[in-house]
Amino acid sequence: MDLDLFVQQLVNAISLGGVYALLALGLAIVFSVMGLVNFAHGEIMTLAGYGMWFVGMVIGLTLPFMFLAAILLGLLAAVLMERIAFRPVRGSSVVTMLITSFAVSGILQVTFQNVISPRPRGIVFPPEISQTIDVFGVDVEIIKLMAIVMVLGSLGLLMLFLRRTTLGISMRAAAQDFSVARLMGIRADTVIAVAFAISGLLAGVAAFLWVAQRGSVDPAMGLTPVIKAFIASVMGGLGSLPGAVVGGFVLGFIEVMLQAWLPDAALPFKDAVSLVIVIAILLWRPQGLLGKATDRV
Amino acid sequence: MRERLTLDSPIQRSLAGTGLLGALLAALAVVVALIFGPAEQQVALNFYIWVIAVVGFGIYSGNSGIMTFGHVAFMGIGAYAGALLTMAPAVKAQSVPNLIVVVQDIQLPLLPAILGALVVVGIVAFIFGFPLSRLSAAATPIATLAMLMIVYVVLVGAADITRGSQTFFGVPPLTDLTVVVIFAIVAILTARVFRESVPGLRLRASREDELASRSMGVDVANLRLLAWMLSALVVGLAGFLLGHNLTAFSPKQFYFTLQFALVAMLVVGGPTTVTGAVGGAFVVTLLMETARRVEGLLAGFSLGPITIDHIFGLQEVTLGLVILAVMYRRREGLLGRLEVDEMLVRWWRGRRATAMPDRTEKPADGTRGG
Repeated sequence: MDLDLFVQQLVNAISLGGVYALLALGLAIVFSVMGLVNFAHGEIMTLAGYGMWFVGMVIGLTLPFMFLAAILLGLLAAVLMERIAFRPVRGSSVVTMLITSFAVSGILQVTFQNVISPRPRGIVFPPEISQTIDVFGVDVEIIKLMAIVMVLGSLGLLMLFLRRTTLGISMRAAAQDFSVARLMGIRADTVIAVAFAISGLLAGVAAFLWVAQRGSVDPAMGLTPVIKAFIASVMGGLGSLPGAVVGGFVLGFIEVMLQAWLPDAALPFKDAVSLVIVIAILLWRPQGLLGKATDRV
Repeated sequence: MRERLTLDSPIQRSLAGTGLLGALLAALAVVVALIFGPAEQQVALNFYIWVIAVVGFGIYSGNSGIMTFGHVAFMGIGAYAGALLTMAPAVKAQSVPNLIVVVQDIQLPLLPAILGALVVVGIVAFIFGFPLSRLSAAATPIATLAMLMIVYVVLVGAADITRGSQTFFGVPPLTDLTVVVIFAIVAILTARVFRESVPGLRLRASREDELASRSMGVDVANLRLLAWMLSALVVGLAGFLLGHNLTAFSPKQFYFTLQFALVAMLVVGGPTTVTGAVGGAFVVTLLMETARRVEGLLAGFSLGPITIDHIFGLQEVTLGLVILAVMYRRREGLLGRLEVDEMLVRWWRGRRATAMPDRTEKPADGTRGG
């Protein structure tokens, strides 16, 4: 029984941490290629959520189409965002790009409020996805199982892409040293566009899973998960792709375990406690769990 | 022969710069108090509070070159801690009945209450600042987001002290135009003295080139911590004053919207100088006030078949666009990288150089100093 509960919490941790991992990985890919900490990543996720709402609620299509809408809109939004908002500041300092993305995020949130609605838009999912099924003697919700499959699937596909294709290998080269990669004949525009496309796709998958858990979309939906993904990527080691994934899962694990074992009186402080744990981890390893030590003099 | 107006000593420079900005701010306050009505005076009051907050924000972000998104948390702590110290026990019994007995019975006048609130801000700032100052420059802004979330969650969660997400009310209105002008000048002086001091100069060197400054023996982590602490205290002071101006507030007011405005003010004027922080606060306050009025005018406005019932967040859009404009066109901010006194000295030398051309064979020499 105790083991049963533990396995269920583990499933929760992997499905929540998986969402953080997808978002953190998207942030890390863009950061490693162009040095941009993309604050507006959350708005890509929100937009993907609105895409699901439009396809599912307004047009009335089924779940797979909602998923398709989420990832396509995520991809499109990310690529357009790079073209329109971030190209003018490409190559400038980390601070400049960070502030630019901060402004883009604010503008997009207000745009959602005015164009769609400041209030949440509800999305009805087929009731089957919240049913539980028996996996090796443990009851697991289908949506959680879906989350784990999708997260592992996305990570696996991305790993194949990065290791097996020419474009993927040039992405990894650019992530290690952008200017040297360019000297080797890798096109900057292509690599950056692909980095944004990947981050948008991952944000779309994350949006699908996030919305499926909450059942609604609102203009500020992306803010909280993306801030946590940011923190996860710093905890894993900023700019390290495996680090982002590890950081995401560790944060998800910490949050789920706190939710399960924190006394009721302390539950309102759950997010604070988990972030304090993260800061304590950073105190122990300032460069992050998998990060390289900073340049030493 | 040296020219008389050189302002070589850092203390002279700080005093001259503070004097110039302070005189401008004081003159503005007199004009506002004499000519304008209560609504405009309220805008001016907020402006001086923004000046304190942005100047404080710049002590860390401007000198270290690291953007942060958590400074508004110190405003929140300053506001709540200060309010608990200045409210009358009877009001507290009504507003926050489950408060700890010691805090329940305290009521302090303005200055001791500010000191008390700043002690709380300082403790919190140190707890976060110590790990944060060891992170890399790219990771720090993100970690400050964690700090903002932690403080927000605690302010909402600690309902016995803060009334949680409900409005905290009954704070005495201790903030007036005189108080804010005086503290704005104090904040500017603090920021300028730190900027011109040896630690400030070293921190600015690490902003330009972290590796080079470290190889020269600059202790970057501890200098960042020092600037962080000073910055937090000044921003906390702004929060105290804001709390005692609003008299009723909730944790939501010390979250992303206000942080967005602070970032806009800092980058628009020019983050590297105190002059830029003050100028940015002025420009952004004007823009926000205009946007607010336009928003009011547009509500219910109809043009033929199109009726606008309500526009949300015109202020935020304005801020966002202003930030983008500055980032795309003028990254060092509207006022550039020079303090007001340095601008004047440069202008003065330029004037002398043209008046006596025979003595200035190398005019570039004059323009490079400062």
